[in-house]
Amino acid sequence: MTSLLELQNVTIQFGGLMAVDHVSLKVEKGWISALIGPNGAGKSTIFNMISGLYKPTSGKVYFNGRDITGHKAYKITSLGIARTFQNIRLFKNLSVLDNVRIGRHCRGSSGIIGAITHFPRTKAEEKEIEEKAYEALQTVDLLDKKDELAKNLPYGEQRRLEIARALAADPVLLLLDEPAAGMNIQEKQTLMHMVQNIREMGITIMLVEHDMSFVMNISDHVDVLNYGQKIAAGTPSEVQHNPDVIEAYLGKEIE
Amino acid sequence: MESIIGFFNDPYINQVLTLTGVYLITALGLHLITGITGQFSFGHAGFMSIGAYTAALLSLHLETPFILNVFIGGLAAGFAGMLLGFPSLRLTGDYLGITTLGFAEIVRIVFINMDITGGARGLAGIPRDTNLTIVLLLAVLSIMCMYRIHNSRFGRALTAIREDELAAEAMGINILLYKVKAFATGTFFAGIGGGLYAHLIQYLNPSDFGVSRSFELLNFVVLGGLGSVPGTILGTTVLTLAPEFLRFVKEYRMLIYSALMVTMMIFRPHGLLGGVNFRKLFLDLVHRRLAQLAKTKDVGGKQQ
Amino acid sequence: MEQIQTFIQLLPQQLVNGITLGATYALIALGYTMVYGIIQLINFAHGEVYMIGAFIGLLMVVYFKVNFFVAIICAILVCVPLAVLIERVAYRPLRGSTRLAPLISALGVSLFLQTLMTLIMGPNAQGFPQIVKDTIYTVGAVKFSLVQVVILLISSVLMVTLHMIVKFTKVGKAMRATSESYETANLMGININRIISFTFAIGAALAGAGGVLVGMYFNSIHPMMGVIVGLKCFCAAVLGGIGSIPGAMLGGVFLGVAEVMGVALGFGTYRDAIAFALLILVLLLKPTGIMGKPIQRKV
Repeated sequence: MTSLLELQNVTIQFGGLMAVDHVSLKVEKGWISALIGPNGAGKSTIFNMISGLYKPTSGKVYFNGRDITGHKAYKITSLGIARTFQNIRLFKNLSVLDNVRIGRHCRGSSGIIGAITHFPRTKAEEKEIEEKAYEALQTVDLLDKKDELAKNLPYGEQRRLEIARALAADPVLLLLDEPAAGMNIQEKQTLMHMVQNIREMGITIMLVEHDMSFVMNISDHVDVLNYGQKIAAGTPSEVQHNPDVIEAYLGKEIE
Repeated sequence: MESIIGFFNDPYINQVLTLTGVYLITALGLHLITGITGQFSFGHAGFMSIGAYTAALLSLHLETPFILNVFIGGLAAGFAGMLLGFPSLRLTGDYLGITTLGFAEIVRIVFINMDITGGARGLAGIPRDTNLTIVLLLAVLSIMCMYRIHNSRFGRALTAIREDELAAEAMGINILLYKVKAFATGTFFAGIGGGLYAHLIQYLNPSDFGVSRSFELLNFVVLGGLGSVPGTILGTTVLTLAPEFLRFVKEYRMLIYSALMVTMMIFRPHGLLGGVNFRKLFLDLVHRRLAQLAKTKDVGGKQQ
Repeated sequence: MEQIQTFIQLLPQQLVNGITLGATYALIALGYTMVYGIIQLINFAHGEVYMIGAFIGLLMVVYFKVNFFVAIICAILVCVPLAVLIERVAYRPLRGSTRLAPLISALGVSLFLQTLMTLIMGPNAQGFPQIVKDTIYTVGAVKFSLVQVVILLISSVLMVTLHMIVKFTKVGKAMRATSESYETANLMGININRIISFTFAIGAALAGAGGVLVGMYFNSIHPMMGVIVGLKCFCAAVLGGIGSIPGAMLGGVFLGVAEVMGVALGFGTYRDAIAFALLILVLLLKPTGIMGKPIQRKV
């Protein structure tokens, strides 16, 4: 059985800096998989590479058995991988609804001619985009704020909006980059339920996260990175008790 | 009623209004490129020039119908925009700005050196085919186009590129392709404006389409409010009509414009109407009115 | 065949002419590259500073009968405060603003100064008197006019001085630090505003001197001379690698040589277009220029 996502011996080098060092990992369909590691371990770099913003220096990336190494970001999105960003990259001056509608861009096809002429096909597509956008907003509970400007939302809601925007693309794999960052305990609980709901919808999820209890509570599988290398992989409890992982986070015991 | 028609028939007023309409069509093209898609184009006049000369030369040498010539002028400018766009739109803002500026200069220098364009002496005797009616019609069409683009999947993709290019790409938008489409469409409008201009002023000179003209067009789009169609209409109208009605402004036009732009950037960079959402204002007004009506009805009902 | 032979015979002379012209371009290109390196702004008004330097030189030579050296000093004395003022009034308030606003402001200042000068001095070219004896020195197949020697000498001195300042003084170090990382330099206690003003000042000094030198070389100046030359020299700066000081020097000289060659090969009337064509070429093939470093995209 082919994994949904597979990284084979991926290396990403920036000049002299080895950000990702021969990392191989797999994400199976239906999983909630987590990528953890201390700061600077290379987690976001891997995410950026999977979503097509960086090209690996060497190694291969397979999605649904298909080689997507080096593909451009917009192509990868239409293949079924959507993402959120660590530093929230919403379209600030656009409305919540517009943000989500743009998320669904890859599922539409009308261009400038359709825009100007308002052909029935274009109108039908616009309607569909709007409906799906409403659905996505409903999933993250932001439908009542659809006409607000994105920049006016409080932080937690901005994070949820990013998720709605990614969902609108009808992804098969959803990449969440530190979705719980800056959230309080209640917000994290809400987020956890949301992520589980999304999994129920049939979407596989891969997340990068620093909050250990969040990760351990929600994940089926965890990969651990340190200094660009994968040092452990397995179920949350396996990883938690792995001495290499403990050392990476807490340092070596003084003899 | 008669005096209103008389007003519009007055040749001077007619000319000024027609010219404003021509500039508006050209400026709307720049609005699409810079206001909506966020790409810096400092050489818009160069594309106006291409449209103007193409249309004029067709009229003078082939005597094909006026509207067709203007349309072909637009296509020529759009095509040039596409050719320039593919390599240049990969560049970041400042570089794109200087490249477009450089391109407009190349156009100017090439046209000065060609025989067919009349060189430095210019091209005269272009038939006066542009009139207020045609220009008004085309202006209204252009405005409609802009609104339709803005509220479409295509337009949303463009605004996404303006807001955050990287995120836009992650959303599945082919950045370069969309930038080029926006750029070529914008230069198409510039070409149409150029063709109309040629058949209004009846004389063309490459230096009419230099850096100051490009800057002027930029002013039209920025003064009213970048990214806003009403803003572009306001900016174009004010800056074209002001020198006509204020002698003082006409003489020192460039001096005033340039100082004005610097001041605007410092104190109100979003332009006069920037950030004003007309639809929201209108709907708010309607709601308040309805609420008021409901209240008085209630009171009236209770009194009965 | 004969044409090629003549061309090769004339090559050394053309090179000398090109390098002289290129030296003046380099002086102006340096101002663009330093300002862009430190605040990522295309200082469109820089061309006008150069133009004003030329006019100050003219004023001093015609009304006060000074020699070229004093004329250059006077040009520098006017151009430096002018550039610092421009930065203070039109650019500094926009430092946190959108990317477009400072560019529009710069274009505005440029057009303002052009128009102002045209209104004051009239739109026509003004003759710049011959203030250097027209002696010719012959070295083999090449003739150097005294003016060319003066230009080459002065521009070399100025560029070497710049290099010294940037490499060996405290200010120079601060300039380099700010170019490298604005925020870090600020946190390290460097007075960013002063360093930026200083950058504008040095650039203006070089440009002002360049204006006078060009006036002496071509014996003619006009209020719009800054526009074309300014754009061309920015192209030269990009060609050499924007932000790189040796790059600007290289780019300027390269452009001068390319232009002279172009004219020699018969492209005389398209001369000004050469710079823009080179610019578009460089931006397509190697946007970081000859000496530039590739920029990593940060997500």
